[in-house]
Amino acid sequence: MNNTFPLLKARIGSQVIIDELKGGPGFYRRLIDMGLLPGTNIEIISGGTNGPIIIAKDGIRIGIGARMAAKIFVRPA
Amino acid sequence: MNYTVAIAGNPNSGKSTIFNALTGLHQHIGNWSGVTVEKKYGEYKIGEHIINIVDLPGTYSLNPKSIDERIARDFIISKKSDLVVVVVNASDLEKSLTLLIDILEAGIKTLVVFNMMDMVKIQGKTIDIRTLEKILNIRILKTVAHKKIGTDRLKLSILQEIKTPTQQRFKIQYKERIETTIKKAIKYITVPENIGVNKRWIFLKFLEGENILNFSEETLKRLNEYKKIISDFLHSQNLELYFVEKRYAYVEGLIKETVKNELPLEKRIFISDRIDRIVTNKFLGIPIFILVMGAMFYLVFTIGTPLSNLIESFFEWISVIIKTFLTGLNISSIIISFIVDGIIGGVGSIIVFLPNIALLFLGIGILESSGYMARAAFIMDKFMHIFGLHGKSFIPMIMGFGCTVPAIMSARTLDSEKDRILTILVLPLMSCSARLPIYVLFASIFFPHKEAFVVLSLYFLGIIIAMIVARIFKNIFFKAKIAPLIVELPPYRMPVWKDIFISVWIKSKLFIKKAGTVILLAAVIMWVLASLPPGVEYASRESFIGKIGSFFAPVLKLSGFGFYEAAVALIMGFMAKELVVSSLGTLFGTTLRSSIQTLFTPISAYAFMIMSLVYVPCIATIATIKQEAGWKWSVIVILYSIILGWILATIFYQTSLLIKTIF
Ligand SMILES: Nc1nc2c(ncn2[C@@H]2O[C@H](COP(=O)(O)OP(=O)(O)OP(=O)(O)O)[C@@H](O)[C@H]2O)c(=O)[nH]1
Ligand SMILES: [Mg+2]
Repeated sequence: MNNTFPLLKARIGSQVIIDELKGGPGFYRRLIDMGLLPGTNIEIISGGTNGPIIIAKDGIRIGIGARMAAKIFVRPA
Repeated sequence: MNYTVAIAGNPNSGKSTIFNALTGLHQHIGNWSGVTVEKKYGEYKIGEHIINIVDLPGTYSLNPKSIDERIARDFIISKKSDLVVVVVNASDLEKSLTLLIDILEAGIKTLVVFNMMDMVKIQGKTIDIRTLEKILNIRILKTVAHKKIGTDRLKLSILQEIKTPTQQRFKIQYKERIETTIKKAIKYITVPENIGVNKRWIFLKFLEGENILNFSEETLKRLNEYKKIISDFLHSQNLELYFVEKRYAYVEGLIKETVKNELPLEKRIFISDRIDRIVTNKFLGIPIFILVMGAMFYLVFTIGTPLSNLIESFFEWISVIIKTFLTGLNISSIIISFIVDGIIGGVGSIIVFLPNIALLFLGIGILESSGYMARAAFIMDKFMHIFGLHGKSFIPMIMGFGCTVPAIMSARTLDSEKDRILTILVLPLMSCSARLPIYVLFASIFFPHKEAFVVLSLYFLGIIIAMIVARIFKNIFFKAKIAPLIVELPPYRMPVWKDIFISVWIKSKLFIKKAGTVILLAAVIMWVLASLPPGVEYASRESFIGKIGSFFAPVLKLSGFGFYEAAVALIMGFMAKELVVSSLGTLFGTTLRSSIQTLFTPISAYAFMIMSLVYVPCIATIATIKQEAGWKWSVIVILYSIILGWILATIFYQTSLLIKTIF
């Protein structure tokens, strides 16, 4: 699949699917604790385009720092 | 009978709210993840039974990443409790249930509480609790904890559940090959007496990378062989991810079966999101934060200062009355001085600031309760990184405006040890509520009508110094990368006013109690030292206290306040920051304001405020740093703060003088 891109670049209001978590063990443990596993459908609420980003997964809102968002690869839903 | 019950669950699911409802205590509550960072104990009585309740820190999973999560995990799996009450945030079932089934798989006796049922209604969902109970073989109670709905029934159900002998046998069935390997592997595991979980779960956690029992070399080798079989079988994909995914998949199935969305997604309005688009905006985020803080301190002054003036007049009035009354009774002037200078002067001078302090706590309470704290961490992340700090460091920093001690504890939520220690090192630079009286007193004497601005400048100065100090320490001691930021942003909530007022009330009471104990005692000691040797003029340079102060005073000369009264006040401030003002109160008695006015100039007054801000944290803070980070760091904090305080006060004083003479 070549149409993946870092979450950091996602646009507000768009829906994406988590494709791959490209980080160390500590990094993905934090993500999977929040239920952000590969295959998860998320929506971009605010921020983004190189800044920290707020995403929605079902009812909950999660803030993700820019450096972390750069390592989460997503594809359009 | 005596029973012990632990309250566990995801962060911010309402555990402490339930704890408070059960025990009648008032543990700290706030609308962000990581409010409780230490086990808290309470109890309630039911019939002839006493139920001891342990409120645990929140945890996302049983694979801890930070100290607070580890405390929770260790307690959950220990045999210390007869029952674990798992609090589920019913409006966020997925995460909560994933933790729940992990706890169930461990074979721990549980009672489940579905809290935040009011939110479920707002979301337009219905949950088929009966079916969930059946599938998971558990009992579920519904609560709306902050309104105490369902909490009385919980008291009873806890007892019933303890008395019902149930064996929790829930497990997720994995692929045949995995199951057979697990069966073989657990033969090598023995569960110690004090651990209350089954072998299978311990091995599953081992596969996920958690060596809970600290296996011996030999066992470790065996288990690793089995781990290898499983990871080969799964084509060596990440095992932790594999098992977590299984749990999530299971929970997804559960939710599909039992939860109905009555409102279509697009119909739901998310007010929180609209607020967040503004509050966390790239350009507006930090300005809004500054505005919020500004507004808070504005309130502390505009409402607080008239009230404290009132109290001050009251103390002046009562001093005069007592003085005339006692003089009329022909009572020796020594006793009169003791009461008027020593006690009223010392204790009264600090009690005066109770309104300001109570309002400050009110402001912090509103911030904590609304949900803004989590946003602050998010907004500040990038900014904090410049200085080597983590976004989450910002939450303890705001708490530090109240009191440094709980702020240091709350740094436990930081995942990385280095981030945590660095945060602790700079937390004393956040102006705590005990420093507020110093600022208010001096600002009102030397900068009338500009008090709010002057005091606010000191708060920001504290933040700026903290940032710079953090950057320097980062470069010296903590060269590692800062952990990435991921933080849950709970929906904004109307502050729960009752909780806030109770918390302000408790903190105000603590302040008054401190005034009646530590501060009173210090005032008495100081009065004695100021009255001796016999025959000496009260609080003169020849008195004992004058001699002690005069010994240190020369050091402070360059900073602009090289007189003994300032030295004494600063020395006393090491005990508790409230003593800076109260010592001056004891020394000067009823002439506090005019004496300060003659001794200080506006410039030296500001230098003195800088000194009070930076130099050495109080004893309680030092003790907490030692507990949380070790004695080495507490010594470093003492040293750097004293030196830095002196240098900054001196630089400010000298350059201001220079500028003044030039212009
Ligand atoms: N709407 C709603 N809010 C609740 C309910 N119960 C608690 N709250 C609020 O949820 C927030 C979190 O409550 P806490 O009791 O501090 O949560 P906690 O689980 O102890 O959190 P940590 O200590 O951080 O793990 C507070 O703002 C409470 O007022 C509820 O039933 N409904
Ligand atoms: Mg709590």
